[in-house]
Amino acid sequence: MYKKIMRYGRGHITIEVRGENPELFLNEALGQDVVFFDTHFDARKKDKVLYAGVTAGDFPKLRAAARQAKVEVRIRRKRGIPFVVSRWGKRRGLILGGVLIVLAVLVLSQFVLSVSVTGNRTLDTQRVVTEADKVGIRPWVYRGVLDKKKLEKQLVEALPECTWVSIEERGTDVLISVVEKALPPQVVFRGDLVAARAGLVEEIMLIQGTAQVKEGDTVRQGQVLIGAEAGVKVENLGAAHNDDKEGLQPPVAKGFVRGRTWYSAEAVVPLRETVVSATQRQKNGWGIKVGERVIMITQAKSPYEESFVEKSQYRLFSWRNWEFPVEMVKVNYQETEAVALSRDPEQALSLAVEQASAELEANLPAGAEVLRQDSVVLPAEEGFVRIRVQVEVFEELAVYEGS
Amino acid sequence: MPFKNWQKKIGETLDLPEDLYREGPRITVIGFEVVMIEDFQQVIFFSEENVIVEVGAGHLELRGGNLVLAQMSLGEIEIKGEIHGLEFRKA
Repeated sequence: MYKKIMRYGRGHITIEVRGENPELFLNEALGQDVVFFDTHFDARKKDKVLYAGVTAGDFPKLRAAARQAKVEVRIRRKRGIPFVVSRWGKRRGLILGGVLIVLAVLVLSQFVLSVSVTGNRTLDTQRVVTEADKVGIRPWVYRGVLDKKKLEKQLVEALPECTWVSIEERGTDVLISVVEKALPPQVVFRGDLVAARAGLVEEIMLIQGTAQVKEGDTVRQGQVLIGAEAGVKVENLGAAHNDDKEGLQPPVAKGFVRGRTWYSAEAVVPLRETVVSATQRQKNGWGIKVGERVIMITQAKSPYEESFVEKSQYRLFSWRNWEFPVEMVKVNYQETEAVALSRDPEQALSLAVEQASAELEANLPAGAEVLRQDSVVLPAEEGFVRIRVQVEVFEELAVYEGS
Repeated sequence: MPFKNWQKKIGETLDLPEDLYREGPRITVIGFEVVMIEDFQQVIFFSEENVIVEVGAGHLELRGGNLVLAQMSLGEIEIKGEIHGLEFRKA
């Protein structure tokens, strides 16, 4: 092996010797310190042709021997690094082309070649691209000069609709990720203000329109609180008045009506209950997933009668967009058992209050101020506790019809 | 030759390796396929079935099939192939 590598490194030539006396040729060449490899005759050929390998350095020494032995020596094949080098030396154009391609890739990869935008929902991509162009992110800009932190700040300023902008270089592509601001819904003024729900009116603040109720009145859901009225001509009130036509507003009611309202929620809790709960015992099963097919290697089935099953998958490795098609699958079986639970009435009651309060809390409108809370035990079937939690809150009653 | 005789006697007395004081080549045969001859003078004849090599004591004929001179340099030759026989002919 080592000898062959060395021979390849120095270069070797297979020669073809034709003549009456090849032995004389060999002996003469040996006298010149030539080393022959794999000297043989080709059995398939009729005439006596000797093949032999010599190193490239020895080849010139053969000339004298060939003349002396009156044989004809021809080069059959050249092998080895020196010949490879000289062959490539002749293919200047090819090498030049290769170098040019590498250079072109190296040079071109230093520039931004494309700008892409992601994350925008209502914002126009073209607008982001235009703004990016203004701050200096455009094709054919040298990537080295991009100060991403600074440009991100500039872009956020240039795009008031965005709360966050990130600039990421992905090779020659600059990926601008934007997160748009979630703007609060604009209040649209239209028509009468009506009661959102039944309640007791405590405060009225009238801005425009006619009050149809007074403080202390009880109102039904949907009852008109402030009637609409055409407003005075107001100028420069800003974006909220988009539907103004030459300053004249359509008939609209504006104002606040606050009052007390009531909410309630009920909960029923049994005194005896069977609950499924996990024991301490658990076991893991492993398998592999190829495409959609899952092959479990250990624990294909749950070892317990009843259990929670949790499956997780692991990617073995991935490279860029490529993912290894085989995934590891781990299945965790956790033994469960049915536990009979019995509560004394007090425990059941407090649990019921807890449940009802939680339900109530979830249903209360934002901004409602709780004034009072009490709970009432209701009659229930044998073995159950039933409770109603009531709250009295102070909140805004007036809403526009249909909203 | 008195010197050669002395050489031989001293070598035998001192138990020196034989190739140091004896005339002729050292022939190594590995299996039925490789023959290495050190200290040969020249190739007399070479074909696929026969190789005749001149060594100090005479001629050495090797018979076989598909014979190849795997490596050959001054004084050293390695022959590979099916080897059927080796014959020594004193000059």
